[in-house]
Amino acid sequence: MADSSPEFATIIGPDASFKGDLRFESAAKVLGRFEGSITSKGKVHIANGSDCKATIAAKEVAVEGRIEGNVEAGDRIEIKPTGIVMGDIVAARMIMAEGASINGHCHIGPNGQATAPGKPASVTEAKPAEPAQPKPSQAQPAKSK
Amino acid sequence: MAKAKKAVKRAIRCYLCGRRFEVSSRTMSTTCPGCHKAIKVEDVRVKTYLGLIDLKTCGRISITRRGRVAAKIIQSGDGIDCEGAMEGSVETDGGVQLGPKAAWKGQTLQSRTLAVQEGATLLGRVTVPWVRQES
Repeated sequence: MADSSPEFATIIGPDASFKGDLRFESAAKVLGRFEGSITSKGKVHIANGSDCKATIAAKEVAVEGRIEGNVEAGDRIEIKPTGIVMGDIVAARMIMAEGASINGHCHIGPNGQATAPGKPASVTEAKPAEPAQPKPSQAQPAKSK
Repeated sequence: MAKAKKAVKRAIRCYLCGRRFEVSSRTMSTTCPGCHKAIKVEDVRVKTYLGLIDLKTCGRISITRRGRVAAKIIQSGDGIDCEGAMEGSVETDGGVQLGPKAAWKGQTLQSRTLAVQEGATLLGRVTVPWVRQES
């Protein structure tokens, strides 16, 4: 049955089938079928037995079920032995257990995560351009004999 | 009368033609009875930088923390343990284990299993589980 722990504010039950876009502020757990996209600033848990045909963008993603689509984790992605990801993965950190399945392009590392979910790319670390200064080495006066 | 020691056999698969055959556990290299080419059977341990075109063995490849392999193809029969860095396409009939400071960058990583510890970096296409086609 659905996990009633306070860790997950939103739970899509095992008998539920959802089609569309979901946006969460905190943690969410998917136990049933999902089709569409999930965006969260917290944790998204795809439980064992669940089937997601979705694009997922969250701070933290835990996979025990099956995901068909791209996954972007701002902080980390954890793929358990029963987890299957059929799509591209972009994350800062990844933990993958032996037995898990991946079929897709992986970009894991500190620079792997492009932008935090919900933030446009142009907002992150935009610095004003510095005014151009003449280089002293280039402006050397010609020597007179 | 002294008893002759029974040689321990080890089943391997040629990485060139895919033929399966048995060799002694102490064999370091042999000639494949299928393609008649020389193949490496020993385990490979990389402790420093190793740059080469292909790194192929029927045994296991271990890359230590200071080890770094740069090759076009890294192929292993028994699997790969990586604590350092490897660059190139990875293909193994066994499993790949990436430690917390390991780094892999290449076109494809194909293995039966993959275990990644937190902190490892990956860049490239991953296909797990992967089984080599029988020739």
